[in-house]
Amino acid sequence: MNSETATVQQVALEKDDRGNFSFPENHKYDAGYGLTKDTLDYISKVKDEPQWVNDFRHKALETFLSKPMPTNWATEDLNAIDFDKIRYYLSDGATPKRSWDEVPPEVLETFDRLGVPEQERAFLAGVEAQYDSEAAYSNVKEALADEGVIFVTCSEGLKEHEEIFRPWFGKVIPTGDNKFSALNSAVMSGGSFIYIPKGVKVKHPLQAYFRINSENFGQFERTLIIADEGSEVMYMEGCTAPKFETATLHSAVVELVAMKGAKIQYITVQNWSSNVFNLVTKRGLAHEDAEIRWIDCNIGSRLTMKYPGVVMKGEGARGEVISIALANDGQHQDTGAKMIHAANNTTSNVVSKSISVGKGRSTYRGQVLIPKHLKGCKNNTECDALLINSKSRTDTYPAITVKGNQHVTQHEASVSQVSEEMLFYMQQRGLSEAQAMSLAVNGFINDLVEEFPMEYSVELKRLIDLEMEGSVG
Amino acid sequence: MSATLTSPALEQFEALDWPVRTVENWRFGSWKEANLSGLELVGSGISGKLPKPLEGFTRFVFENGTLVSGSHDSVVLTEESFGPKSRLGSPKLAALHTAKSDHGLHIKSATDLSVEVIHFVSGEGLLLPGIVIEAEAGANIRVVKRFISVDNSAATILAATDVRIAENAHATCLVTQELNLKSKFIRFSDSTLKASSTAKLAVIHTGAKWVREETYSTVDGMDARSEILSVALPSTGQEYDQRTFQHHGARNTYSELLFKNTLFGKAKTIFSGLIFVDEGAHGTDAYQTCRNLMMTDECEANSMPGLEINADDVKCSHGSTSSRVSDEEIFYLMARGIPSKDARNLVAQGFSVEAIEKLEDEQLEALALEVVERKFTSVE
Repeated sequence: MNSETATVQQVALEKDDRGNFSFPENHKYDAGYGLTKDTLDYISKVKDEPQWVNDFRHKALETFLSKPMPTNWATEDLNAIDFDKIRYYLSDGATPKRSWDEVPPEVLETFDRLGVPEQERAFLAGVEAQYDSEAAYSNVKEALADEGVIFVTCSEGLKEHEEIFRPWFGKVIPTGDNKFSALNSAVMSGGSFIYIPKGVKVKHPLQAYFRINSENFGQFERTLIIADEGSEVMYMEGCTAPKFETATLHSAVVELVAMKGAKIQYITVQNWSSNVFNLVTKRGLAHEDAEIRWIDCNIGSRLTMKYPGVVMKGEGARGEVISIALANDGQHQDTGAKMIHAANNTTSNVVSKSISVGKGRSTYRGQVLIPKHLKGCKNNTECDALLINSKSRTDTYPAITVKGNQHVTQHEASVSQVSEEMLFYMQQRGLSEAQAMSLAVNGFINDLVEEFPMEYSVELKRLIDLEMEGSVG
Repeated sequence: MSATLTSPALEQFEALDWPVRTVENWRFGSWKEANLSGLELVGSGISGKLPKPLEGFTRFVFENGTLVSGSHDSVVLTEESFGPKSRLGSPKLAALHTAKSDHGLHIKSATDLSVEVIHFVSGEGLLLPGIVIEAEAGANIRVVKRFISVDNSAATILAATDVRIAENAHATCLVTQELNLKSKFIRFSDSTLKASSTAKLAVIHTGAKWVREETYSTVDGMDARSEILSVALPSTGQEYDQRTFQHHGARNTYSELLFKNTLFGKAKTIFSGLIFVDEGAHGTDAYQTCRNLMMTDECEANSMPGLEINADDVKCSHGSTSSRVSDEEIFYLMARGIPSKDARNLVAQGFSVEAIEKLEDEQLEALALEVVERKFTSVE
């Protein structure tokens, strides 16, 4: 037995109660329930923010209140969110820790339960572990600092690196982009600010673990990554959340800026518990010859609405979205991609695969825009959906606008199921029906899973095995 | 007159709102064009030059709302609307048809039948034609419906078609829209297919400044097969907005949609399609393809091919492409002595023919080709 299978089995055994726990809450700062102007002032005061940030929050609140729920195209389930029953800011008040010894023991225990191995932790370069809305532990490896890489919380970024932070903050995703980006702009806390200087190629992926750990508490992290000319960076976020009875809200905004020739890869594995509304706005701005890739995997949450986008602003820019979604009973994975071609010879690629199990519903929603007077733009979009059970549901709603005849776009989508023959073949060779189904599903997404770093792809396969348990028979 | 004013249909029309931007079924669309408030019904019309008759077809000719020739035992002239339902964003327009349409045809036959309906359109104002085509069990019905402008006035046509196909019946319908470039054309096209029936519903658009077409096909019986075809050739000043819905409500049903748009000048097209598979409609086989051929650098194509699948054991796919005639193809034809412009048009016509050929009816194909060719010669 090779070591990889051993790990898979071992971790699979431990998985059952993984993420299914919570710890006593111990918050120094608590903005209370509901959203008013006072909430914003409270957050600003606790975080000791400059006036411009406070103004920014207030303006965003007005936008949030003035925008209707987008139920003219999105699911009615959004109306189940009660904004008055959400706590918008919680913090244990601790400043980011610099060494493991200073991290509160219950946080360390959380990481143990999350299955982050001891050795791996030591190797994890620049782990930004987020516990509730503030970074409970933050360690930027010295080597990174020496190269001039800035990897701090968003709050630190806007205070200590205003000259780099402010020109791009809210520029890729303006406050009024949608109702939830406005909400995030009003109550944002936590998240990362990363700056990679010219020509620096960060070898190790930067990582952040997010957790939600208070009932009715939403996380509103705000991340801004700027990769200067010719630099490269890979950022990974993974999340699990303890299970709670009532719905929680997670509404993040992630902005990426890739300057000339820079490359950014942003990898997400989302496994929130199935009562979380995960309404995230993610967009990147790619300048000349820059490349932005979103690699996105959604397994958890009650409702996820997430359409990572790339605005290709400079000639020769490239954008890519690779997406895997798995929707089980009671879940709706509403994911997709947005590709805005704003310069000549820009190329975008979207590959989306979704799996609907039980009564799960998965949706692909996409937008491709090639405006007037451009030439040589190319887009390829592929969406494949796999339906496992007779009550499973899948939808596809792409929108493609092309102006002019100097471009090539193609869109294809297909829906299929695991064939009886395939299952029969595998069962003949001694696999149980569930194992056969799991193998078929893993085969369906295999080419995309390979895009994830090794430890993620192992975890992904494990998660899919677990999700497939009990889905057949 | 007072009875008409208080009819429930009119009340419903008054109560509904004109389309607005936020309605998802009007995304990318010119919803303001759909506001027909204040528009009066058009008066009596004038005659035009009759096209060559189709052999074996019974011909009916309308001049605006008046039937001037044609009769058949299986065809009844009606004086009110059959009441179209808009399920794709225009309930007010459907209610307008229901409340105010005063002429239509009802074709109902249990035996084979071929009917040609010509609508000569003239004058300014609103025209509300309707047609019901009922193919009873085992019948094979062919219907050609042409909308032809005879003058250069800005007419507004709000047409409604309902095709009902019983068990083992077959219907082929071809609608050609050859209006002048000032007119607006709105059409509801509904069809319902029972077990083992087949339908081929095709439309050719060459005229009008603005077209809004809502095609709703319900495949309701086992082994029914529905084909929806469209060829659109818009040029500068023309915008075509086509919305389709392929509804699979029974097991082992088949539907295929093929839309071919060739865009000249500053033309704009919108295609929004949805394949909807009901819970329990297992064994559905559904396809949807929209292809845009971009002839200039100023045209605009919007495509929204959609799927909503609530059953498993289905085969569904959709595809949408936008591109131009490839340089290789042009080079090949030029090398054989065909000038570049002719070569481009030749390839583009071939592109349209792919959809027309699916009619599998020589007479209808010939007519469709003739309409397409006329547009090609008129485009710069």
